[in-house]
This record gives sequence, structure tokens and C-alpha cells, in this order.
Amino acid sequence: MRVSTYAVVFCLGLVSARALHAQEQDVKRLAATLTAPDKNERLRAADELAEFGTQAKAAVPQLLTALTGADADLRWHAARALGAIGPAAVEAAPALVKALTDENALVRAQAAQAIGFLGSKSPQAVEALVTRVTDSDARVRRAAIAALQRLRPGPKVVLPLLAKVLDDADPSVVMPALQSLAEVGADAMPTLIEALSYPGGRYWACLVLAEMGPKGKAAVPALVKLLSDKDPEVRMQAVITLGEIGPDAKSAASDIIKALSDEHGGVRYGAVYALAKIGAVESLPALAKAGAETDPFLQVLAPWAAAKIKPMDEGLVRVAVERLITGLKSNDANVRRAAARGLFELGAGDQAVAPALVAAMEDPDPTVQGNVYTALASLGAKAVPRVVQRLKDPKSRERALRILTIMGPEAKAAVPIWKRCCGARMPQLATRCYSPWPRSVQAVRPLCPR
Amino acid sequence: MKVLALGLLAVCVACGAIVQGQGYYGGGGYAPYGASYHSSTAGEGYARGMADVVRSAGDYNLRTSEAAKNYTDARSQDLDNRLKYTQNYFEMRRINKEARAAEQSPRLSNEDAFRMARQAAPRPLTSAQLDRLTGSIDWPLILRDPQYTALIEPLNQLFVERASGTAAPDIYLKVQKSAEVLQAALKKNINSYKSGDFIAAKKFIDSLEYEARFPVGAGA
Repeated sequence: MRVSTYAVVFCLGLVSARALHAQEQDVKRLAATLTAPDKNERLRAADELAEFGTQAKAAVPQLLTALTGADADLRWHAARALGAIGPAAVEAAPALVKALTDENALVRAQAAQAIGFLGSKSPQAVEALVTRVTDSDARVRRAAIAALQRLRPGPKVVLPLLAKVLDDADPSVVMPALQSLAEVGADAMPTLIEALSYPGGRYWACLVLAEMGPKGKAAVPALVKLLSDKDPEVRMQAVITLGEIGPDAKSAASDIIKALSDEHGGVRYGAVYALAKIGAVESLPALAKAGAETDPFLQVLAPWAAAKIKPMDEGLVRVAVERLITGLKSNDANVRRAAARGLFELGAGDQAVAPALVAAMEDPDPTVQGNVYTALASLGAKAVPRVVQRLKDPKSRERALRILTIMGPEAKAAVPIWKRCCGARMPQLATRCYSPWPRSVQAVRPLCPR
Repeated sequence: MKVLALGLLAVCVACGAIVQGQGYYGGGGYAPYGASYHSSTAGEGYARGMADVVRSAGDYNLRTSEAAKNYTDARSQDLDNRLKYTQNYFEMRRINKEARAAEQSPRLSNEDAFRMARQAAPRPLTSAQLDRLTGSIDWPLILRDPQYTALIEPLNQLFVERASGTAAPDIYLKVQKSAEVLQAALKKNINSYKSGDFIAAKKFIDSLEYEARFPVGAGA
């Protein structure tokens, strides 16, 4: 018995050794092909070596030769292959750093990316990557930022750099920097405030600050300045950001009230939202005025904002609910979306809310639908009977099931009817219960047939 | 029998070790497990909270205003780009947050594990097969046949857009649609190819489609 085991292990070892040997031979052959007379063969060899990953380590010297050769295409293929080998090719770092100044932009881009994959954190590599962040080619700038993100040389190096990147005219370069700043969080505040002073960067910095919410309160004075920016989009993002900061931005309330008279509707919408989030009681008269404008979006949003500011004021809440319910029938999808979302955020349990939302379930706009579902689900068990009615209609069945799924265990009263209506005849709905959304799976289990 | 079982187990372990040794790079933002975090539409991802609803309506208002009618083509293009990237930014942030939340969620039940194993992710493409920096795709030989040119062109275009970050957040849906059309065309010619070539091409398309589920900037 023991002898048989040893025999099997020995045979396996032999097979593995042969496979490894064959692999080594392949790498050797491909490395030699890097100098073949035919250009396509050379490029193919570099690509195949890349597919070997770490196992192609033995080909690093030949790839380095290719990286400094006369053929630009082979140079970038070689740089890419060195990146694919990863940390095992760390000896290639100095050559790749040199390649960052190559005349061919694709070589510079692939070299920058490869340095990131090699994990070489040498000061020379980091410094060279930093200089490439302002390269004339967007691909190089993107690759350099991605490599620096991967290497994580520390906030002192990266943060000042990112503020400048936000000022880049090309959004494809801005985007990775934006992601990095968002990931850094509160420590990125000085950088973001600095970026608010850059004409090209202020719009993007607002997005990150909006996401940070109350943590961005140090930026309030700089954001208030932007309320008079010449670009209406910047004004809109700045005012929304003040709203996201919440009550800590109360000092900006009077400036935001002025923004309610901005010539651009988008800025006025943002101002209404911000006043609601800040809870600026002094803005109620101005909001009443905004709600009386002819703009249908403001007619819905302003009463909602007033009700959010004074949720215990039954009169304000009633007016808001009425306007929101009316808004669900608007011709404008933006208004319907705001109405559905507004009803959800107000948490209004008014008797008229559930029928209006159930009627809006069939909305042709998916974003309106999504908000209607959420609003209906938030009504909980009391909305179940109305949603269950829709289960009986094959046309509405799937939508009704989605809402019951969001409700989870609160919708357990629907299970017998669902089984009766759908059961085994609707296998695709049963499958939906096991969709790859892990949290919802937990919630809908009580709804699923066994 | 026991020896045979032991032998098979050892073969599996050895094969696993060899395969693992191959490695790949470029990551391209693969999620820790085979779930997609995408909204069904671009707008759906963008209009979740009231802030997003307001932002979306405000953008629409600014673009359809009287002042916007006097914008130059270049200015309009800049604004469209900015909007597209703003949507991308929020969509990517949402995806990242959901992925983190999923990582922190409790351990999977056996039932969930079984379901997810069935949905096993396709093998990631190598950097030579899909260059994540430029978006260029090195198609398998049989898909380079002229009869597929018109079908692979939309995918070439989508992946270049994806690499440059100019793709809309719903790029996955577009890739999925184009990949389905390509798979169907490939399947029609199944008898013309060696089984190995056919399977390799099919798997390549599967991997390409899977790659598009994740934002390129998330990992690379």
C-alpha cells in the first residue's frame, strides 16, 4: 500500500518535472525568437512570454535587449511582457524607468504600467512616474497615475500631485486621481480644498467632497465662493456639495438662498436640495416662492424640501405629499423620479401614497421604476396587499415580485398567493430569488418556494 | 481503489500547482467573486439618492437651457464628456462600496457557495490577449476570419472606449449584447472548426464579456 503511494507520488513528480522542463524550453525558444528576422514573430514571442507570467523570468535579459532596440513596437511589447512577469523581473526596473522618456508614447505608457506591476518603489522609479503624470499623451498620464496608485509611495508624494491632476483638461486622466482622492478620505481635505481653487479642478473636487458628506465641512468657505463661479455646472455641484455636508454648512444658508434666484434651473434645484439637507428654517419663505414657480421640477422639489426641514409640520408635509403624488403623473421623467424618491425620503404613510405608487409601478423609465419600488417597499407590510394584487396580473407580476423581494420578510403574507399565481409555472421568477445579490438573497428566502 | 483515489487527488494538486504557476497580470479590477455589481442602466446607477436625482435633472436643465443653445460644438462636447465622467465616477464609487460591503459580509452558506460555484468566473484574459491600457484585443485566429469582422468591430471599439475611460457606465450591457451576437455566429460554424479551436474562441468571448463587468480603473 505504502509502496503504491510512493510510486504514484514519484510518477507525479516526474510528470511535473517534465512539464516544467518543457515550459523552460518554450521560454528559451521564445526568448531566442525575440531577435528573429521577422517582425511579427518577434512581437508574437514577446506576447507569448507575457502569457507565461512569472515563469518567463529567464527571458528578462532578452526582453531588456528588446526594450532598448530600434523597433518601437517591439519595445512596447517587451515592456508589457516585463510587466506581466511582475516582481520577478524587478531587475528590469532601471531600464523601464529609462523607457519612460522614450520618444514613442505607447512605450512610455507600457513602461509606466510595467513599473507598477513590478512593484519597484525606488525613489528613481517614483520620481520618474511623477514626471510622467504631466506627459503630453493621455495614455501615459493614466498609466503613470495607475502605477503610482499601485506602488502607494505615500500621501506626501501622491496628494499634491493629485490636486494638479484634477486640473487636467482630459477627464480620462482626472478620473483615476478622483478615485484615489475619494479612497484617501478625510486626509485628502487640504488637497481637495486646493483643487477647488483650480479652474479645471473645482468641478471634480466638488464630486469627491459631496461624497465625503459632513467630513468635508472644512471646505464650506471655499464652496461658498464657488456659488458665484461663472460656470453654472460648477455652481450646481458646489451647492449640492454644501447640501451633502449637511447642518455643518448652515453658515452658507444665506448664500444658498441667494442661489435660489440663479438664472440656471439646475443651480436652483441644487439650492433647494441643499437647504433641505442643511435644515435651514429661515429658507422656508424662499422655498414657498420657489415652489410657486412654473418649473414643474421645483413645484415638486421645493415642497419636499420644506417638509424635510420641518417634518413635524403637518401642513407642510400634507402639501408636499400632494405635490409629490401629482408629480408621479408628470410627463417629465425627472419630475416623476424626484416625486418617487421624495415620497420615499419623506417616509410619508399617507393613505393616498400606496395607491399612487402602485399605479406608478408601470412607469416606462427604469430609474423612475427603481425609485417607485424603493418607495413602495419602504411602506412595508401595509403596502403588501396592493402589491399582491399585481401578482395576479401576469404583465405586472415580475415588477411586483421585485418589490416584494426588496421588502423581504415583511412581505411574507404574499407567499401563499405568489405560490398560487406563479409557483412552478414561472421558473424564471423562482430563479430570480437566487440572483447573485447576496444580501437580498438572505431577505427573500422566506418568499422562495421550497 | 484507495490508491487510485489518492493518485487522482495528487494529479489534481499537481495540475493545480502548474496552472497556478502560469499566473496572469493586469487584473483589470476583477471582483473577489463572480458577481456583477452593475446597475441595469446608466441612469439607474446615477439616480439613486435625491442628490443624484437633483444632479441628473439639473444637468438636463443646463443642457437644454437657452444659454446652452448658444454654446459652441466644442463647449457642448466638453460638457457631455464631463457629464459622462461624472456618471462614471459615481457608478464606480458605488461599485467599489458594494464590493467592499460584499467582502465584509458574513461567510457564505453552502447553498450560496454552490450557486456561485455554478456561476464560476471565466479565466481572465492575459495582457497580450486584452491590453487593458489601450483596450486592444488580440483575437483568436478563427475569430479573425473576415466573416466576423463586422461582429468584432463593436467590441474593439467598446474596449478602446473602456480603456480610455470614455465608456458609459452601461458598457457591460453593450459588450454583453455584442458578445452574444458573436457567440451565435461562431456557433453556427461549429462544424467548420476543430473542437479545441472552437472552445478556445468561445471561452475567449466569455472572458471578454466577463471583463467588461468591472471598471478598468478599479484594479489596474
